[in-house]
Amino acid sequence: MPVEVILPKVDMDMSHGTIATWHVAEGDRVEKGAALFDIETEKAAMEVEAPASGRVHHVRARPGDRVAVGAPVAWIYADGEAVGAAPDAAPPPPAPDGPAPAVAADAPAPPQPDPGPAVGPGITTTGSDRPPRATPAARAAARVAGLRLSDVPGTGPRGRVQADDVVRATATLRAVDTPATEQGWSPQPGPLHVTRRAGTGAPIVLLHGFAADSPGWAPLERHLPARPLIRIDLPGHGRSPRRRIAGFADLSRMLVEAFEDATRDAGPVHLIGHSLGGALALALADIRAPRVASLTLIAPAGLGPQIDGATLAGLTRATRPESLAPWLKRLVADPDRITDDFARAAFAPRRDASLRAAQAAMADALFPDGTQSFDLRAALARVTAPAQILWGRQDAILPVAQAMQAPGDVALHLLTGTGHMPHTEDPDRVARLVLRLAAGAEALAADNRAGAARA
Amino acid sequence: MSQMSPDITPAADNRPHAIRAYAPEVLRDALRKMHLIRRFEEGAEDSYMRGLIHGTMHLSIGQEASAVASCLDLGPSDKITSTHRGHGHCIAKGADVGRMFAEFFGKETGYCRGRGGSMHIADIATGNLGANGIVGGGLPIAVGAALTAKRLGRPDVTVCFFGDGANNEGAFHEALNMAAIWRLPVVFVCENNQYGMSTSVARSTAVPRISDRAAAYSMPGVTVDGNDFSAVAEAVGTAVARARAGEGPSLVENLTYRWRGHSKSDRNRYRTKDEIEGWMARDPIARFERELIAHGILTEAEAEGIAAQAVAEVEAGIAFAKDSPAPDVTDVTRYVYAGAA
Repeated sequence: MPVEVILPKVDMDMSHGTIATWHVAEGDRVEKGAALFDIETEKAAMEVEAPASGRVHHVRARPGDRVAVGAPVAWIYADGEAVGAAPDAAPPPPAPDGPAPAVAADAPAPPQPDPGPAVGPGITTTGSDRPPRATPAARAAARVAGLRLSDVPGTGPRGRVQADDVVRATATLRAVDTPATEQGWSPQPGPLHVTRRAGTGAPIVLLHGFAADSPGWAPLERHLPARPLIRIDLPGHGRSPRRRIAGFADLSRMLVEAFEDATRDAGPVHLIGHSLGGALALALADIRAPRVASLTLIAPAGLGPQIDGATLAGLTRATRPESLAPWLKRLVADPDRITDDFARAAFAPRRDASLRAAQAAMADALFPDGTQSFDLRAALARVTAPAQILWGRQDAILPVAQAMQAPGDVALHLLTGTGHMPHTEDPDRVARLVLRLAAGAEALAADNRAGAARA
Repeated sequence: MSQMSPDITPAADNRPHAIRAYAPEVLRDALRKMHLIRRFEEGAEDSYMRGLIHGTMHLSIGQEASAVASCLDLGPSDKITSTHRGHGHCIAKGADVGRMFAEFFGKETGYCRGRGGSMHIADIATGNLGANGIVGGGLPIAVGAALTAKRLGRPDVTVCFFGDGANNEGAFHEALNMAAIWRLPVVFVCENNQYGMSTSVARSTAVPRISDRAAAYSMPGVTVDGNDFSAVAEAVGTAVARARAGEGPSLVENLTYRWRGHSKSDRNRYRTKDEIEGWMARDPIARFERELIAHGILTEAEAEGIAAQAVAEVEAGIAFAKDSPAPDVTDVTRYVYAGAA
């Protein structure tokens, strides 16, 4: 008999819990006591340990799903035990409360090798449009300060907004009223911030662009359901420390370090980089070729001197959503995408004057006088992994003509009606191209291994 | 306990104290109770995770030797006071696991008719004056019980369980002082499991050994390995004999460890896996069982039988509790206070 894994009660007065993340994938082997998944309750996040050793099957609750206490979420089969249909295949009852499961359609669905239902009794699927996680104290403080919680960057576990964050956000807002000195930042030590999403197969590593951050990958991630994701925040961006960058070489060294740390336990990975992140992905593929299974460069920097310096300066200078929005509109082909709400959300992490100052300093080091100071054309010619370049024909930041640097072995996709942000403007297509390249690369690698075995 | 004089003991009987001092059936029953505590708490944990138990719960898995060996010399008229982590003490003092589960599940057949739950199991009939949700709350009660015995001229002894967290409460110092000046028949048993919630003893307590504090109240203080059944039985047994003889209180510190978190909402951020695993390797039950087998008190097969019996007893207890009636809502205000003794 397989051992049932239930959603345990871990808090007083808890009737449901939300699966935050799985530490294992369908079919993985676990040892009793090893971390199985994390759950979130109203009050805490907690790791749940495997109740037995064996292989995990019939995983029926996905990250984001709200599960009733005591409901089974998976089963663990002992070694050698035959895996049949899910032991309890009752159809899911209508969701008792919580958001309607309509969003389930575009939420990522893991592959289901067994015929068991994707969700089980007591499990409610929710999308990513949940209200921000915040402590009760933070909610109260935000109410008093008249702040929207979604505008407050959270520093707690998994981005939870803490009372301190509200205090800081309020202080920053005040600082914005009396314009801050833009030089005001001091370098911080520490490793780059890495976030992960569990999944099966070779991981996809995501490197965002200048003035962006890892949450910016969300639209694309919805179209990459199965694979594990590893996102790295560039220094001075997102939740990474604000480290001082002497130049591109210095920056790529930091990225190599973070990449090696983040992918230590993985085989070769599929690397995606956008803009400055594209240049860094290319540099990584150049010096860590064996670690890169495939390479997708989205409007990568480093393939020519031109860059729209005015937008770089505008983005880093903006102290309020109103001055940020016009520059955001430059990033996309259709300026109507940039609504006031979008601009406010995009500004939220940029409220912090010292973050803007750190990015301004980085822009000055990498793109002095509105010029790309680094050149990766030689690296592009050396790429051995299956690689592709995606570029929007309406890109106003990096001229699409730079894509013509692509050597014969690198595929080139020029996207019509798309600006500098293909992964947000046309995520469906970008995901398709990424997965196609990844699948091709993996098939090729398998062929090569089989060939080597025969030889 | 018996004192053997050297002239009739050839060479030295270097068997552990408990093996020398207690009859085999007493030792086998002690092992049975330790298994029962472990299985009971595992069953309670599983029931809690399935949402069958309300409130929170504090598990003493890993501390079974301390609970059982400390109660070894107590009869039904002797008393104990317990703590928020008290399931083991209840069972050691003779509680029935079915009625305990019923109490957890809020059922009418529970020790307090389901009104108390995990932290408020009391059973006057077996001398269990109750677990207590207040840290250090049992200390003054134990002193009161001991004062009662002394005033009534009864030979009863009270064993007062408390944790390392309680030893910095004012009630601890007041209780020890009063018990000492009145020479009361009480044994203070500190189960030092190293952490008061997430605060280590080193960070909270000025003395290196909690038993050092006995000196301030002119009573004997001793620290023993709380996972060594025999060591606890010897130390607490000596203290109980002293109390019964009218010589006053003692303080015994049992060094032990809870394998689980403080409560079910503990995220265990203050201890390392290595530390927990290190203590799990010092499992008091496995150790006592090995000792009994090594000294011929028990065979391997008998040991397995005892363990299996505990499993069955706990399963039967859960079934009894599940099948028991819930209290009637019209009685909700009744049975909240104990009747007159």
